[in-house]
Amino acid sequence: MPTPPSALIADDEPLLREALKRQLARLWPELQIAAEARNGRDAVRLFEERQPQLCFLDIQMPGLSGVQAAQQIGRRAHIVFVTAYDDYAVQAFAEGALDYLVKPVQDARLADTVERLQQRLQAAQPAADIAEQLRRLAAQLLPPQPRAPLRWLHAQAGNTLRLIPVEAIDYLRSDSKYTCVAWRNEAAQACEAIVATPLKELAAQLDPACFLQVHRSVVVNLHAIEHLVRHDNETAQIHLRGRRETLPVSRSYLPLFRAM
Amino acid sequence: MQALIDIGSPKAADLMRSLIAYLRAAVPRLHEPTTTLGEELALVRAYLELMYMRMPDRLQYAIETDASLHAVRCPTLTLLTLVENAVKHGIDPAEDGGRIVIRIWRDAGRCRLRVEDSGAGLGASAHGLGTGLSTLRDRLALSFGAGAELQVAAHLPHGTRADIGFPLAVDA
Repeated sequence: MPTPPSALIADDEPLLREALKRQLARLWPELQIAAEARNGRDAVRLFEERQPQLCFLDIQMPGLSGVQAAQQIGRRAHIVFVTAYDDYAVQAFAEGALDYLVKPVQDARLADTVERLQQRLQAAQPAADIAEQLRRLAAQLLPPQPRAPLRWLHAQAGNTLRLIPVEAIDYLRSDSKYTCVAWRNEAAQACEAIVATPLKELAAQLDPACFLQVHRSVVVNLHAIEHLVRHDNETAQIHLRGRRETLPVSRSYLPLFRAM
Repeated sequence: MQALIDIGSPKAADLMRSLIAYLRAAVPRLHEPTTTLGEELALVRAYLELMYMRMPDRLQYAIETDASLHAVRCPTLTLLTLVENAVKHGIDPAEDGGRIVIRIWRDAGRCRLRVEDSGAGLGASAHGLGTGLSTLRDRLALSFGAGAELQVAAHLPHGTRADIGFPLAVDA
């Protein structure tokens, strides 16, 4: 008698593991659940330990995602992804040839999947080579890059990480690989903090309607400017509201102010 | 929910109760610009009960509150915004989950709210902070003017702490 087929179920929500287990028990009574994993790392570890032929992997798991776990399991098991219906992964799956189930898993859909898997096991078919699809999927699943302007800066001061709202920034000045942030706290007092992101990178994420680069190393919030003093050599100094220090405007940036 | 009903779990009834409590607390208030802290807490409790059923092995929470502040008015979803952030950016991405502690107390004529979690921390979240905090900040400023504060900082050794403070009306 051949050994009964075995499967691993990975989902960070215990209820959903239980639900899938029961559905599988109904639709495929011979299938043995060899292991249940609560995150991607456990899934890989338990796979190595128990070597099941099938893996049902939730996509969104803490730590290692289902896709990353699948990359490590490779062709050693037939992989079925399980994904939430509103997940942006669904579109990616619909276009690919990967096996996937959408939560909540419908019996009819699971029955189709079970039938397909049974055929593959019976034909002793090796697991499909999905490395290329996984690679593409992993790239698609990266968090969407924020295109909206930055709203908060993360500033480190000793052990404290502070979130500075972008509106509260007076100016940014680059300081080798760090950026010095001059900002206002709730009481409108002038404060300074250091951010471990280069000015160039920060400037690219700021709303250009508010923040203006006036010097190679200075970006200023237009709302913080009190007045501008021009000098003969086609440079200028920016005087800020409620701050003693002034900011340089270099020659190449001065035309920006002429246009205003 | 579907999963619980499908497996015929007795927890389905609990979940249904939490969901109903959540909706009862949420729906009628959402159109109002302000609510009371007591109502916010009811909403937050129901939300956390639901989340606890989703991830019983990864979420713990505690609420420490001063009941004499429950009639104080605040912008709708003030507390829920912070708690949702703690679940979404703190607990959800953390393999071992974490604990959320909510504190409400009175401090020198001000009402203070704190939500801290021992989850993944600010840098770890895959999705970045959304617009929830910025919007909340604007709404607090609308309600309380310059007297409102909202600060978010890292909670050590890992996790996030959000603090809100606003002046109490003289009779509160």
